[in-house]
Amino acid sequence: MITKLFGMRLPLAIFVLSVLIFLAVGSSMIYSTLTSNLVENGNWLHIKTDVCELNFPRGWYMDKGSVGEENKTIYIINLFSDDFQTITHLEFYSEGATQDFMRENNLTDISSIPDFEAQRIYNWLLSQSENATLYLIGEKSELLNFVKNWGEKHGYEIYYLLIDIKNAYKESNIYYNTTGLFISLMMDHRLFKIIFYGEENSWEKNQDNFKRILSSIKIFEVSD
Amino acid sequence: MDLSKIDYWKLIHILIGGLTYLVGVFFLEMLVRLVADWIFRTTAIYGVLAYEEAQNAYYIIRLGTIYLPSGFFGGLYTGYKIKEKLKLIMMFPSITGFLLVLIIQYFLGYMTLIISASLLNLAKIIAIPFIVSLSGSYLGGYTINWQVEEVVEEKISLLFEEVKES
Repeated sequence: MITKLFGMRLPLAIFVLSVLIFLAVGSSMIYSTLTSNLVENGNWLHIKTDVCELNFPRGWYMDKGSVGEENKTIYIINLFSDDFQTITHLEFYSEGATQDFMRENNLTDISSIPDFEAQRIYNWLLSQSENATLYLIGEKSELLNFVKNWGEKHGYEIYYLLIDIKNAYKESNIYYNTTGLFISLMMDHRLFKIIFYGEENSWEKNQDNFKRILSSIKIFEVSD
Repeated sequence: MDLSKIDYWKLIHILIGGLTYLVGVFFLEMLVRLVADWIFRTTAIYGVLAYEEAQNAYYIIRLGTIYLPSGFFGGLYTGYKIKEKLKLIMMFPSITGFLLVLIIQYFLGYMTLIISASLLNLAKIIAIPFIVSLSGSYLGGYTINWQVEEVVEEKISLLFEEVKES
């Protein structure tokens, strides 16, 4: 009977080997997944979800899922920048969910949605930081022009709003400002919302990444 | 059942083995998460976790680095304290420890996720980690007793030889 393996008691050797095998299998699966989905010089990943496909920086964390009942679903994708200070938040509404959203929030037109979402975030921040102040950033922003051109290129009726919030939150006795871009558009009676929001400096740093993500988005037909 | 025949010390050792498993799970969970986070950030590949294949891969890594070693440590202690009937005794540190983990998760609010999970997810959350923990427990118990069984066998064979000679 084998009593020792690699100089260790047999059960101990089996344990060590098992741990190494688990690690090896897991690591090779991660490596394989990574290499098979890398695009654009290996710094971006391409992913197909239930509602769209897009590219995103490989260092960014992505979270996705859906909420709601069978005919009233909202598919959500969150992309966090590598410093976790900026988020790109995408919401895809089914037709039923769109009607519910508009009705529940007393909205009659999608043009009012960016303002509604910006106000919602600002109100929440105000409850945490009473010094928070909201500023609108005007049409002359390069990013807004980019978004406008993106919408026109795809034939979307698109509405957007760019805001700054001073003293949005406090950490270690330091106040931080945030910037947010809110976009809404309707496709076949289905609402699509995009929010690009984060700490001011991180937001600025990740603007180009956001533009590339936006450019790469291809939306599929969403079934109810 | 005659309660006076139950060795309460064995029950206590099994419980301690279960607690060893529990501490192992929480400590290793924290350690693995920290190390994985560091690796994903340093190599800038956090995005890979968006894919189901990578999530499954991370799950496999967690099985081998959290549940298997925790079961091993629980079995190691229990096997050190209880030398007989290992085939039966070694399942209990994992059962005890795993139940303690589930109880704590219930109080932390994770049970609602488990209750609403599909059959496949239930297998991933409960059945598979338990089986892996059980394997670790047996490996731990038999590791600490492996040498003892060899010596006992040698002593027995020596005794037989002496009896034959006399």
